[in-house]
Amino acid sequence: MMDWINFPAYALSAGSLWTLGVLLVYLSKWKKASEWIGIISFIAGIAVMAVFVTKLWIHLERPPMRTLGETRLWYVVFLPVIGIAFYLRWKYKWFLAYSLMMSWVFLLINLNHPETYDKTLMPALQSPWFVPHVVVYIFGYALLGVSTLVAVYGLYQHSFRTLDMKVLELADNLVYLGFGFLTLGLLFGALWAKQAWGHYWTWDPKETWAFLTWLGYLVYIHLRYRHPKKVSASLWMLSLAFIILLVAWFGINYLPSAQNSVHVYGS
Amino acid sequence: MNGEKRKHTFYEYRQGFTIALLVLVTGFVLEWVSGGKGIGLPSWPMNLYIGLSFAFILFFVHRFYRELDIVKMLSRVPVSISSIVLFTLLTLVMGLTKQNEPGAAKFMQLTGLSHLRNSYVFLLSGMYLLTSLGLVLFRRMHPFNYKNAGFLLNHLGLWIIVLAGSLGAGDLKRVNIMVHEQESVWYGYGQNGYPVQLPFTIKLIDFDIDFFPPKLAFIENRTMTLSQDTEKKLPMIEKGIETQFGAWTVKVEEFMPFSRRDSLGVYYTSEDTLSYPAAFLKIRNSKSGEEKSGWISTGNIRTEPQFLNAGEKHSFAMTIPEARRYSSLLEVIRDGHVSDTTLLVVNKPVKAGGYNLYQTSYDERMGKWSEYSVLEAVRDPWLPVIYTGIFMVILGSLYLFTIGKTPKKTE
Repeated sequence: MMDWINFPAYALSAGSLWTLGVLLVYLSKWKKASEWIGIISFIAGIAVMAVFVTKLWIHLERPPMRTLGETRLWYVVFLPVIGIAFYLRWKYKWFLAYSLMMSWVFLLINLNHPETYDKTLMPALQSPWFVPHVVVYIFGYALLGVSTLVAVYGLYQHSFRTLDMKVLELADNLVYLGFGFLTLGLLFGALWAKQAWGHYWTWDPKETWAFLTWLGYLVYIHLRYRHPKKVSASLWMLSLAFIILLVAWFGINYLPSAQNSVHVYGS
Repeated sequence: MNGEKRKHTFYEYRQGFTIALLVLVTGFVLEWVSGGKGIGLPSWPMNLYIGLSFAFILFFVHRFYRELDIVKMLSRVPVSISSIVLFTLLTLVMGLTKQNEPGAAKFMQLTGLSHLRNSYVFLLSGMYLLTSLGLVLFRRMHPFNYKNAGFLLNHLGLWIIVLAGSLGAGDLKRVNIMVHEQESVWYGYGQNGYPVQLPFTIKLIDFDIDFFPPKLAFIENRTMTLSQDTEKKLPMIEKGIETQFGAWTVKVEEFMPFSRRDSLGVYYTSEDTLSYPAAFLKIRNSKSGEEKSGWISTGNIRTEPQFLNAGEKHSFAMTIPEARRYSSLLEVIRDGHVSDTTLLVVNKPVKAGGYNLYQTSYDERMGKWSEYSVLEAVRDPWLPVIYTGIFMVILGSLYLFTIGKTPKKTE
């Protein structure tokens, strides 16, 4: 069934290219040239996964964004993109390491849960809003995930050493970006819902939890705006907001109150 | 921050959260006093008057009382945070509990927590939020500085969405319509189950539906459900595909998306309306070496589905095909005027008499042989206002992408 496209081959090639890339970038402390080779290797890994996703899209004759496993694939593509973009812009090496680690996590999950990749796509999902809504959310979640990592690192620094305010500023930048995407995702969802279901907001469990996620980060943004020096409170708020995000992302599949949601990832 | 300022800020938070608590308790009391039945939503023009009055009161307070300490406090961040937190907690209840359930606990009913969408506490919480949001907006608009554009877009956009969404809910009409082929209907059923007359008549000329090919399933004979270990695996049936289910290797030798079965049990391709999908499988068990072949099919409204036994406890079966596309060919009659025939498809609503018509569903039990189409007529006159708010917040989000600097110090 899966012979037409060998996911493990693509996954392991991309994973190896990324791992090599990150290693070379770290080694560039001693040998300047290895930085560029590392970056190229990293981008090559992204290209490999991009090719896979494109072939999958063509084969399925629909955007491969319907199931949880399929969205994980997009994280595997986008997280390294964000990682390399942030590295090139701000030279944070650990960004690359983070996106490498997360991509491996998602790749391994997908390797362990092979998808059947069927072509079915219910009529409501056959809409030009499908791709923008999902993509914008994936970007938002990826950025906010990184911001949480920064927050945890910040809490560690704050508790055991002195906090470098740059860490908190980085968290803020990430949250502003991620929140922007989150807002767009929420609004695109509402505009799409009006086309598909007749109303832009029905307090469906997924909608409610997406809104809760949005509210969580909204509180964080206001806390940071008003109290830029209140480090502990802000970092804890950021972590709390991320927990809400996780519930919205896949926790609702387990909530008893959410079983009838139109958003529970269909198989 | 020096000691005085810090104390003042703490004081503002205490005030803000005290107000939030007051809002919560007042909401609960009002709900309890009214028997926990929830609030009715005002419709046109009452909702417009309420909205305008509210906006005017906020403007009035800002214009003449903005120097008062309490007004200043209401327009600052600690109060905003307390109003957002209150709203968030109520939304959290909505996220964790099933809402509008008939058998809800007494406590939940009387506080309004079981039906938050139309409860006093949610309404008051929304008003608290809109007050804080409105006052901060007025404060930032004077003196007007184009640098505040991003802030204004986000905050005003949100204010419009929340206000219009709440007020407009009273004018929202959603009508479920079930119409059979060749039939005309001029009414449907509202959200509360009562019939609603429509300002037009709909005639369903034809309901059309086509399906994705069915999938191959490995089921347990006793329970007629998917076998546990291969639960996730449901490949789409295509001629020539070969797949594995546990110890069984399966090959689809033949697939007919439209077939009938004659009296001898032989399948043949057929285009007639009662046709259904069938496939011929060849299966082999690698452990026992058993080999067999046979047909599987979904059957139709008159014929039972066919399975292929695989061992004592399992069988191969064909799933009910999933809908790929369905549509209704309609004629809309209004004031004696017959429209051109229109095709109504999912995700592409059609306008009729101030309503939007949506293709919602069909008789899913009958599937291909559904004799009726389910539509929804929705009237949402406040929609343009909501769209304005949404558009403003979208622009505001783009502004967020450009903020990559340290947040400003406190005012």
